[in-house]
Amino acid sequence: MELKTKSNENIDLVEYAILAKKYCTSVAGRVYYAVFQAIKHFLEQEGFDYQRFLTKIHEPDQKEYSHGTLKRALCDHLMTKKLNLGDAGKIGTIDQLYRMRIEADYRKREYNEADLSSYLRSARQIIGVIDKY
Amino acid sequence: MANDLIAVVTEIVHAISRVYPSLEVYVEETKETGEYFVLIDDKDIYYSGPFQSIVMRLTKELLWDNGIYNVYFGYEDIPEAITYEPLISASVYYMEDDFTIDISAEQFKDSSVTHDYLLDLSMAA
Repeated sequence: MELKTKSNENIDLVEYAILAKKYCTSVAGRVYYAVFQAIKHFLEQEGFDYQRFLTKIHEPDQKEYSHGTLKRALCDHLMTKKLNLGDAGKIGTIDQLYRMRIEADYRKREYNEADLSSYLRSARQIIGVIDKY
Repeated sequence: MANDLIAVVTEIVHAISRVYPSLEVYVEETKETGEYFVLIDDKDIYYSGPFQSIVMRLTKELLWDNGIYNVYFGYEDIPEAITYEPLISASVYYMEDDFTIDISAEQFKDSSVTHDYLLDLSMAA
């Protein structure tokens, strides 16, 4: 299954939880994964060489597609397509989705449908930026 | 947290506090992964264009240019949900003379300035 399909399915799953008002904490991390998968799919489709990128930024030992370098990889690539600052800012909000995933998956934090709706809007904005370029 | 990382993160906290003096800005450590989140206590400001513009600039100039890839930005509007004791708080470490980045709220209200910054953001070079 393509990563873009997985991304879409994760979005669908989150939408289901919001409508059902159930499993919101359990699926919260799916919001982050949906964005992550969309970004990875995009970069792979574009022929982005992640290992070469890691070498360029002097981080050859970093794991490919780790959260720490993912945002820069995407921004670096989109800069070649004249990424504007507003869109760069939207991409930056993936950090909050990443934190939410940690809180939802590894800690006692709980999320409700209102929280998920807000995070889903943010995810759609980021994916919308990717789709635009 | 290593001393050089503390210095950079403290500078980030100060820079944000200077532009948004009413915000609570603090740093949370994710011990499991060795990652840090610079958190603010206002969701609306977090998702605003001016704030994200500042974040992108700080990320580029203070983090990426220094080879730092484990510091991120987020918000927490439920203080009791903070898992760990904040490591750095703007109110504790605030020393105006320490600022080395010239960022003001007025500067980021001027769209032409942010546009110039974008042109200067030569991450792809």
